[in-house]
Amino acid sequence: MTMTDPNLKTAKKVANRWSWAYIFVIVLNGIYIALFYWLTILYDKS
Amino acid sequence: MSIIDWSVLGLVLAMIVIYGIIKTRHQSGVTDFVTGGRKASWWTIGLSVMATQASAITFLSTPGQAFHDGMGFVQFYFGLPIAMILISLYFVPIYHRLKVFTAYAYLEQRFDVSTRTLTAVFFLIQRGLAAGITIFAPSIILSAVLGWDLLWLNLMIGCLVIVYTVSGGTRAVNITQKQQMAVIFGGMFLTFLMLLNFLPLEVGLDEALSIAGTQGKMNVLDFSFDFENRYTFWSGLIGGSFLALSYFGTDQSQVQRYLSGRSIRQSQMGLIMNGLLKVPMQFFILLIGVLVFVFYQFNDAPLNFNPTNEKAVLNSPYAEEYQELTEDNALLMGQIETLQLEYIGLTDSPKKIQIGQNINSLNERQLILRDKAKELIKAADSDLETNDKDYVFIHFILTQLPVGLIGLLLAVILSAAMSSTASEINALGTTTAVDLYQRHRPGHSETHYLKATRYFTLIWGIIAIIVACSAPLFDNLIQLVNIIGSIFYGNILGVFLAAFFINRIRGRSIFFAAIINQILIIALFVMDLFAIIKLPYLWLNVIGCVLVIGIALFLEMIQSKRV
Repeated sequence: MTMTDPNLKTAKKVANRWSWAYIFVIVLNGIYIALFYWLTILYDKS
Repeated sequence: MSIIDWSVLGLVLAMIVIYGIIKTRHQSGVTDFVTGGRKASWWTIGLSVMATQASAITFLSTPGQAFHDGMGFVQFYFGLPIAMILISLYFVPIYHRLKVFTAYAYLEQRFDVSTRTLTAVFFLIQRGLAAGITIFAPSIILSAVLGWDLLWLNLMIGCLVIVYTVSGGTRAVNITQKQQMAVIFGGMFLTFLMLLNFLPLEVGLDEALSIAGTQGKMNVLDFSFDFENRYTFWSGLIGGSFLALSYFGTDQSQVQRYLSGRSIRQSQMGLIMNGLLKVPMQFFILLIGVLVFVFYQFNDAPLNFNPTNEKAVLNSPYAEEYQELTEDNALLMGQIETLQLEYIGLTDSPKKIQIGQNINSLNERQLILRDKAKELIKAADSDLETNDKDYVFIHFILTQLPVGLIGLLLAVILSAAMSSTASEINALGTTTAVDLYQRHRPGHSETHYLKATRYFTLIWGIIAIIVACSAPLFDNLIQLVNIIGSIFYGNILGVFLAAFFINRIRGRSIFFAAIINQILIIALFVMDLFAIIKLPYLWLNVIGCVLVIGIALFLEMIQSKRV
């Protein structure tokens, strides 16, 4: 990427090198939400 | 407050400030001052990003939110991890590769200098006001409960921050934020343990959550599409992503944190750390609020947690009526405590259900008493804010925690105020120096620009203190700041999204689109103000973003037809 070429493809290439981390973020936040769901079912008596 | 608390508070704050100054006293140039020499590791960036977002009001208000409305507020943060991924994927690599100092400098390379200047000015207006409120919000609460002078509190927070931010720039902000986060996490964890310890012997965490659940405090997830309900799973996921994207992707106070990373990867990992920890952190703070609620099921709580309100009504003709309400409240609390203890001792049975219902009706009666108390407070002085959400946690801290821990918790609150303010004035000084001064007055030496950046940081620090000190003159300044933020935020995000994703939009079109859009957004806001239309101000974010892209595309279309 040059100073006059702030294009997206190069940016994507850099990011994609470790895309496992993004999947990890989504999975872990999914687990948080599942835990919150479980807490709601277990304790919410309103 | 005891001498031990004063010592803990003074020692913690002094150590953070002195450490920040000593560790960063040598600055070689603007790059060093603005980006911290681009040496920060991922965990420094992660902590810094979290410390910037978590202001004092996060630690004062959020437990109070859970106390009154339960855990549902955590849903507000569900969109944040998505925003972190998108920013890591698209924003960070571009900012790093172009070696920009500010987010707005990127816009010059993608569009032109006018667009850069315009968005920088929008940011300065909005964040300049917000920095004042970051100081004012905890000051007003602490001055009410501790009787400290509001002006001195504003000056103390502002001056402490100015000292190390002007001296050490971004690196000082990053370094001090690490210590501040350690104090914050340590203090909150100790409070959590103390709360569990304060509950009756037969009440563990499981029983406490069960008690909270019967009172509707454990309704963590709400999958309904109810627009009346502010916090649902969907509003958090969609609206939250949108808000987090504009805040973390285009607000210099956050962008500057991850621009200090030693590589693209380190910056991305810092943001990922925020994406992993933010939701559990907010959950934990809310959980403390729920435990405070359970604590007050077994202990006496005031009718209104704001001591200023109680003082005002007790010095008014309504004092007698208020006293009667207080006596009724004490009776109710005694009954609630007895029934709660009975409730815990029972296993699942019709009797347990019956007692649960009885506790519910007593709590509802207590809510009615609280509402009546609010009416009396309003009657005593119509200018008083009767919502005591922000005062619940600080009341608990000051009346229940042991000596020493009170000082530590006050250090938590002031650390949080300082960490956010430091990032804000650091970003305001940088944007003024880099995007306005250096860009339009080139040709001076590195030392000259370093000095200028320091001066601008100092000036913005002083402005923040002035805004904080004049805040009581306005009826609802916090709301005003949110409104001003919403007026500009959508527009700025739209410009950035056009820059990243729509190649055919060029500088001229986006510049004029941003100006036209800003006028339209202000017009919409004014129309709402005079009740010509009904448009809650949060929607201005979405409309502003979509509209600026639409107008720019339209202008491009007209231009291409002319050609």
